[in-house]
Amino acid sequence: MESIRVHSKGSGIKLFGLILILAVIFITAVSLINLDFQKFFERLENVPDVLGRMMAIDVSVIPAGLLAIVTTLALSFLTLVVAVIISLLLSFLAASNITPNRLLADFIKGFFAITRSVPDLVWGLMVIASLGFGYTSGFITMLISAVGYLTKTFAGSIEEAGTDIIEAMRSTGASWFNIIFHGLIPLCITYFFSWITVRFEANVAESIGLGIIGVGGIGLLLTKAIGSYNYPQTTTILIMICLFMLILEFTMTKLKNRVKFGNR
Amino acid sequence: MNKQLTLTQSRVLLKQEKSNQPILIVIAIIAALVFSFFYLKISLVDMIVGLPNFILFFFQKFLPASTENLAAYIPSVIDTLGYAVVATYLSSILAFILGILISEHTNKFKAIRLFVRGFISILRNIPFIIWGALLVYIFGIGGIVGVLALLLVTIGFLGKSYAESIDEIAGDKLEALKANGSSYFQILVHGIIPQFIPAWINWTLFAFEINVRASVVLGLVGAGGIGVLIDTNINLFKYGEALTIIAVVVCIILLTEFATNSIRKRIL
Amino acid sequence: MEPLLSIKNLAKVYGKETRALNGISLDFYPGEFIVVIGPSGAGKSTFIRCINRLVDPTEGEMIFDNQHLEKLSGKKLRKERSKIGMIFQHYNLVGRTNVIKNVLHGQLSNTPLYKSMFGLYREEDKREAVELLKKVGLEEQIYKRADALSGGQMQRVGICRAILQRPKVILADEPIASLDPLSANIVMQQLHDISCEKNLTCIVNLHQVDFAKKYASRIVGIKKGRVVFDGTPTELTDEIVKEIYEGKESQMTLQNDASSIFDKQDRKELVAAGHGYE
Repeated sequence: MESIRVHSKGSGIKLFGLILILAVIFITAVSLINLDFQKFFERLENVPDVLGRMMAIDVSVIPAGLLAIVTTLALSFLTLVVAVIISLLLSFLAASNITPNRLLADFIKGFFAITRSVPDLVWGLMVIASLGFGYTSGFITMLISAVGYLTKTFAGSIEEAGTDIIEAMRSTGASWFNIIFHGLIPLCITYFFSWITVRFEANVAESIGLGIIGVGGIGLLLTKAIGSYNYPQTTTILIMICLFMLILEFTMTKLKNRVKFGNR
Repeated sequence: MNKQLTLTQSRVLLKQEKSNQPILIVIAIIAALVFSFFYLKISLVDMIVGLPNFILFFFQKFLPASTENLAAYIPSVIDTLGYAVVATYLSSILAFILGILISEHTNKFKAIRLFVRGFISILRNIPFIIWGALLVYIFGIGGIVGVLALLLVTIGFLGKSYAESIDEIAGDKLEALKANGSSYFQILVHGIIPQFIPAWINWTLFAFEINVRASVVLGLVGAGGIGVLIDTNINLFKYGEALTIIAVVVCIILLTEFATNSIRKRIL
Repeated sequence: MEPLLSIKNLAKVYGKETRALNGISLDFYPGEFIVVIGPSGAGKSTFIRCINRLVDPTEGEMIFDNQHLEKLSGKKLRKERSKIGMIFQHYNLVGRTNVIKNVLHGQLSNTPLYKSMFGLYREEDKREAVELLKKVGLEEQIYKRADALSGGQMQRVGICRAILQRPKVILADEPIASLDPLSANIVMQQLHDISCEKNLTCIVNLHQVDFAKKYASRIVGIKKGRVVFDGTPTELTDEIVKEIYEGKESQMTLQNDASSIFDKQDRKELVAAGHGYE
């Protein structure tokens, strides 16, 4: 007697085809890139030794580390404030429901989509090439990323939440500025705020990463420690970074919740 | 007389409603700004002039992009994409296991849940370039190092996202399987996985996008891929070539986004 | 005759004081179709879920198949659970999986994982699943995704899944609460017919008293965690029903009567608050 089929028609073939495609992609990828296993396994022998040496902590670097953290925070904060101001202005030009000119909106969105496609460290390299090392370069680099991100997210929130209020206020004859200041900004301020807190964390992470190419802060301190093969310092700084980021995340979440649930 | 009273009353009321909070916040922000300025010893002039300066430099030195060696870049592009693909595959599987260990629905042991949570937290909190630098430091330059670094980053992100999706999977559907005596793995395979698939596809595609970007950047610390080329060219002041490569990178990233969005639309 | 399922002094306490179940003792015999009625919050749902340990009782014993259900865990608990089928208010099917596979989930406890993964269930199981689906009128839907079905259809799939377990007892927690009157009738009819045909014991939670009277061979009334009535439908007079639903009369035919959205108590409160409901 014929066996009763359990699976839906064609689902067997679909599944098989899918697995085949996925397998092909994977095998192609593996064969194309050069994974030098031999060299890797040679190095693998070093690992226990390195890890062992990393188990130590060097307390003497903590004061410098703390100062470096303040540097990173300061840079991130400064960039954030400037970015917020610029992005607020741009976002009202970029949101399709409130922009005075549709083409302008699309252009702004497209422009920043492209700037966002360039990884931040690449911007960093370019900016440093033109302005030299130093905090200003870090500032400009992070500004580019931050404005790109914030403009997109602000505009997104405005488009999502603002259409009704814009319609209502337009019908009362309110001017463009009025609609923005009295309608959209109070409406979207909680959304904006959560984007801002997210971006602040991202800024900090970015500025630590920029330390690798020479922008000051705790990232630079870490890079120097790594470069000079100073294992205990490296571990200490790593731990400091980890704790710092945890505290930051915690604080940002708290702030976000405070604003969300109203604290009057 | 009465009218006047009520008017002044309402004026007083309005003032009382508005607390001093917003003003305090603005003062705090300005204070922090001023402090940052002095602490970093940045000059305001530098900051304002910085962006225009950079743009000027960009137009002078980076443009026009030189397309001489376009074909030579192809191997690196393949490398970069290849690392991203391999890393996404591996991290998807590993992160799934981690996700199961974190979610309450699938793991009853609080200690294990907290431990894995903490582990993933560490992975996510340290900016991934640092991981890259560390790994290059320990293992040297090479493809595997790049994949490893990408793995570390994505596992953290995916693990948490998968866990959140699993948590959202309604507990009631699983009740039926629990009530008829199915074992833990039966519930996992027949109850959780079918419902998890859309979220899994979504997050994994997202992870691939992130991996492509990260793969480019990892090149800058030497882990291979197109980032290495960008770095070398800039160091050699060959800005024209660098811009071409960057343009190639932009194209790759935009294409990846386009591809993943198309897949999303088709499947979800 | 030995009772199939024997409940003694079942109690469930939430927190420090909330006694959801306050000492319930009942015996259930093979072939009975028992409907448990009572207002919401009385403990019907808690009671039914204690039986298969979806909720753990605080006190009491549940003896089934010569086992103390309240003491079991792990493999033994799963084994006894496989003998108890359950039907849920919200159907609890796996939406993205097709109908026949959902029904076959009833036999997961007896099928090794590597086989169930690939759909390699036993032929008898597959045949019975198709038979059951035919019986409830879902022959055309066998390969459809479960979430493409209507509520009534989904519940009938749920019934098939429970019956495929070849259980001794079937529990049903408000099986028709989410259905329109027509589907509700169909579902109750089919549940009743199938359990009679297979001589199963069926314990169903309902708050529609008219359905209870129509289908039950025995009615149990629960109020505030205690059994206040246990007898045949004919013994259930209107007075007794009123007593059970005291203060919450609108719930007696909850789904069918849209005009009584607020029960008496709520109405009183609304009027007192000045909403002029009257």
